Amino acid sequence: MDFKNIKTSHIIIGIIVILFCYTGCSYNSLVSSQEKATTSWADVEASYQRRADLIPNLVETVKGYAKHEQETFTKVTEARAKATQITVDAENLTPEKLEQFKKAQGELSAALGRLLAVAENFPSLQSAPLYSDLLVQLEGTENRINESRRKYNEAVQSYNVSVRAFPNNIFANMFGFEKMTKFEAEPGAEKAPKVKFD
Amino acid sequence: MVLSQFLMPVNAGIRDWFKDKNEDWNASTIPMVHLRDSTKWCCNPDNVIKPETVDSIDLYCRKLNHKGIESVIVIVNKVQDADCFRVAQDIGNNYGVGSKETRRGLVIVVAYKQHKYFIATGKGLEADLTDAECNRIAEDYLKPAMKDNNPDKAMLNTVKAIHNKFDFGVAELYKGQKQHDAEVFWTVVIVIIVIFIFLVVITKGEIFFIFFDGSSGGYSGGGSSSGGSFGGGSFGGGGAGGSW
Repeated sequence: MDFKNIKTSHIIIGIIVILFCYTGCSYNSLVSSQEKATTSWADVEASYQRRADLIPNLVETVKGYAKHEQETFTKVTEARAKATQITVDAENLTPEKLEQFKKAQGELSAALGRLLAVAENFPSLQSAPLYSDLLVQLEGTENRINESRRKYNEAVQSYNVSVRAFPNNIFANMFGFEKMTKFEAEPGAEKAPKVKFD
Repeated sequence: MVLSQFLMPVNAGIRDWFKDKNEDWNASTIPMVHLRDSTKWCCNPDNVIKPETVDSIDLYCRKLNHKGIESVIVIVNKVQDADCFRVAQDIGNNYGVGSKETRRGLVIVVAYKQHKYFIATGKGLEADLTDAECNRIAEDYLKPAMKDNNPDKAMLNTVKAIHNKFDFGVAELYKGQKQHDAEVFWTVVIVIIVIFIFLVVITKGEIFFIFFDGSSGGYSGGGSSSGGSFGGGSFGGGGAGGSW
C-alpha cells in the first residue's frame, strides 16, 4: 500500500468517522444504563406501594382487638396517606425529592412498628390466621423493598460510573447526562418492622 | 520420606473433609448440580440428606420443570451470615433460575445446623405460590420434621407439597396424595382380578401352566446426562423464611 497517496483529508475524514461511531456507542450505553436505573426505581416504588396496600387490612384486623388504640390507628392511616401521595418521577429523581420520599416512607415504617407493638399485647390476635398471613405478607413486602432498593442502587452505581469515567464523561456532559442519587436508608431505618412468630 | 508422601494425600483428604463440613456456603460456592447434570436439581454438598432422598426430590423437581417451574433445592450445614434469604436471592438472580419470559423460578435454601430456611419464588411465580402459602408449607412440613431431626422427611415433604400445589391445586401432602394413591391402587387391583378371571375362563384353567413356565428378563438403564442450564429468570424478594 502506498501511504504517500493517502491525503490528509482522508485521514481527517477517517478520524471524524471513528469519533462519530465512538460517540454513538457511548451515547447508547449511557441511555441503556440510565434506562436500567429508572426501571429499577419503578420497582422500588411498586414495592413500597405493595406495603401501603397491605396496611388497611392490617389496621382493620388489629382494630377488632384493640379498639381503644385509636391514636395508633390514626397515625398509621395518616402516615400511609402521606407516603402514597408522594410519587417521584424517575426522569426527575432529584436528591431533594428522593429525600422527601424516604422521609415519608420512614414515617410510615415507624407508625407500622408502633402498630405491630400494640398487636403484640393481644395473644389471641397473634394466633389469628388472618393476622398471621398479613404479617407474612408484610415481611415478604419488606424483603421485596430491600431487594428492589439494592438493585436500584446497583443500577445507579453502574450508571454513575459510566457518566463519570473518562472519556464517557465528555459525552455525558455534552448530552446532559447527570449523576443519579442512590437510595440510602436513614440511620436506624434499615431495621424493618420485625415479625415474630412465637 | 515415603511415609510423609503417603500421609500427604491422606492429610489433604482429612483437611478437605473438615473444610467441607465447616464451610459457610454462599451462592457462588454452592455447587450447582443442574449445570453438571440436567436431571438434577437438589444440591446436597454437605450430605445432610441421604442420596435416595436427593433422587426423590429430583423426581419432583423434574415434574415441576414439566409444569414450567425451574427449581433449585439447597440443603447445607451452614450459609454465610446465616442468611438463607440472601443466598436464595443470589442463586435465583445470579444463575437466572426460571425462564426469562415467565420468571417462574423456585429456590429453597436450608441451613441445617443454623436452623434457618427460606423458600424463594421468582417474580412470575409469586402470584401462584404466595408468601403466605410458602410460610404455610414450611410450618406444616419443613419445621415439624426438622424439629424431629429428620431433614430427609422435611425436605422431601416440602418439595412434594409444592408439587401437589401445582398438580392437585392444594399444597397438602397427605390428604390429596393418600386419596389419589388409594384410588389408583384399588383400580389396578380390580383390573388385574378381572383380567385374571377372564383368562381362567377362556383358557379353562390352562393359564396356570403358563404362569409357572416363566422366563426371566431384565432391563438395563443408565446412561450419562449432559449438563443443564437455567432460563434467565429473576427474583425480587418474594417467598417466606424463618427458623425452627
